[in-house]
Amino acid sequence: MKSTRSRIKLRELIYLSILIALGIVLNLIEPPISPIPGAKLGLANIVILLALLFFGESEAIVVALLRAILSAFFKGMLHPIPLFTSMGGSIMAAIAMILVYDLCRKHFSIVGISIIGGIVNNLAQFFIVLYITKNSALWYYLPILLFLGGISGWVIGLITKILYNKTKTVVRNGS
Amino acid sequence: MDRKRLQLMMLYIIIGAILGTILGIGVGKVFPMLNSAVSFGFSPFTLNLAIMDLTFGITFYLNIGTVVGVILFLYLFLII
Repeated sequence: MKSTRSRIKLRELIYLSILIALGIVLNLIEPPISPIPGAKLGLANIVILLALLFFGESEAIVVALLRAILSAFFKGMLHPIPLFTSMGGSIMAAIAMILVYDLCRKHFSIVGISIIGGIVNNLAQFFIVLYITKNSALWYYLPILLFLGGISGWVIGLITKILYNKTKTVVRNGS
Repeated sequence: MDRKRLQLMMLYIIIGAILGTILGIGVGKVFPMLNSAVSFGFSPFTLNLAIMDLTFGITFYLNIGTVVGVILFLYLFLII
């Protein structure tokens, strides 16, 4: 009995580390959308959402936190503004997705949860940049950011839905 | 209450405390009552032991928003 349980814990650990590694790589290779500064697709939200769907709430927070810190190390950017925006954005997105997933799972699909996550991600990054720079002209940039957050959340939700449906039998049953 | 659920309750309490404190600071600019805070702890001190230096300090910051956030998130945890 005990060995079965520890094998399950070990499998969960391995899947979580695979998810974190995938998140780092997706964050490193994702293409920037050139005409608008600061707008990115946010492909790393895929792994946070997958960790939430497969394993649960605390694991999603752990994946979000470790993904942000480790990808900052890999990029070599420990400058406070990119580090804080990336970390705060992904943790706030994870918190929002957890709340939506726990409280009204019946009314939201995976795509809906992902859209909420994308919007909250951009909103949190906006407020962090606003708090650091104290430049009130940034408020004019907020509607564009919210719109782009919704669009990128939609795209990421579609990708995550496909990935979840393809891999859920493998992750749940182990083979 | 099994271990998973206890973990989730701790997560909810921490999320509620953080979000409530931030909201308390933000809303406190309009209604100053929400940002009436106590901050306790001790500032960093250095213990010099000749072969090593230890520095340690911790400060907690609690306002009305923290309390409201924790209670709200405990309620949310109980209804899920």
